[in-house]
Amino acid sequence: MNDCVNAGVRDALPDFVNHRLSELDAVTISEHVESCADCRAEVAILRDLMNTRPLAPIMNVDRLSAAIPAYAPLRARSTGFPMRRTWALAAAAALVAIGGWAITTRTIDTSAPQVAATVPVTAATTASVPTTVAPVTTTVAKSENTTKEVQVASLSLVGSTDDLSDSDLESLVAALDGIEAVPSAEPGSVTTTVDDLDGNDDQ
Amino acid sequence: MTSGSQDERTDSELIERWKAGDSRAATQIVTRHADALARFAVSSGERAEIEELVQDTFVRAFSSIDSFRGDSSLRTWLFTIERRLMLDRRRAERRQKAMVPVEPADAVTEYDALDALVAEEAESKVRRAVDLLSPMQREVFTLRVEQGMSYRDIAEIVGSTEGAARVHYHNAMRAVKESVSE
Repeated sequence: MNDCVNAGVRDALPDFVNHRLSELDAVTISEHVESCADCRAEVAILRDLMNTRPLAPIMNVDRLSAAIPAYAPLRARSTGFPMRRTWALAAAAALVAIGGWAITTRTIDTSAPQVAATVPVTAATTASVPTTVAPVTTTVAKSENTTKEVQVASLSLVGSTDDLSDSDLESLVAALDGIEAVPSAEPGSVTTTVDDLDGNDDQ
Repeated sequence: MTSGSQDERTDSELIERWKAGDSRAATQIVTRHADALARFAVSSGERAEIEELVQDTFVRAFSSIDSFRGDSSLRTWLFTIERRLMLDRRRAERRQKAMVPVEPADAVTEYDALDALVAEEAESKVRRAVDLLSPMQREVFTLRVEQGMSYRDIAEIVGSTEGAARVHYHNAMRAVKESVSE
């Protein structure tokens, strides 16, 4: 026993046997079946199957309907969900608050050396402390792994500023104006050092 | 509203009416699908407590009606639920059989008599051939032939693809033809 090569007709045979096709389709399939032994064999099997299918008991609709519960929306039934959602939102808010606090603290810590670096220069200038000139350098750490030294001024601060000539004073003032109190490297941490001003190598 | 117009309402309309508090809409849905669910259960090999199975199907369906998205027909969705219940029932029966030895008399039900009568009358080689199919082939075959389901709906009920359902059907038909011709 072979299979008909017309797969479309074979697919439609169960519907043909059960009278589920339109009149036009039923006529088309009927004509094909008459001329195709393979499809005739399948139709015979399908009809035999339908004739011998086990009988189902008759359903008692009233009894079945009586067992159906009243409608309860899904939201009304799951009371636990809103509580879980509230807790999730509270946890998320707490996380954001802690994160914000940590970022603020880190910003304050990184700016502290910049203030310390600025103070000695100002003190040396205004208190007329006789010191020897040392190059003022600013170290800008752009990231944790890379540092870059930027020569911002080469300045002589040995002795009192009274000893300086007008041109030296002008160059000193110009150099001081040129020092950035807050280096513009963003967003990495910034560290400014002034070497040999107070004998320490502060980072 | 006449009963005739109620018959013309779609399943979706009846569901909405039931949600709004109209219990007659639920009765309408039960009337429309209960017999098909019973036939599907019997075709799938269930022999006992068919009405209980159909009732459980409706209770479960109406209890989770909000999860019915309308992607398939309501009948396909109901068949899917009933099939899961049948699988659960068979698993429970297997566990019970594994624990408690069953006397032959215990297994007799009111349906066995009917089965025997049908088998005697028909003596159909075809029916016996279908009984020899694999569970998946038999399920697809009966859904296609006896319930008139499309391959797309069958695929959704048995948790497969449309192409796989088509292959299962044609393999089943080939096996039945070979069995009949022997």
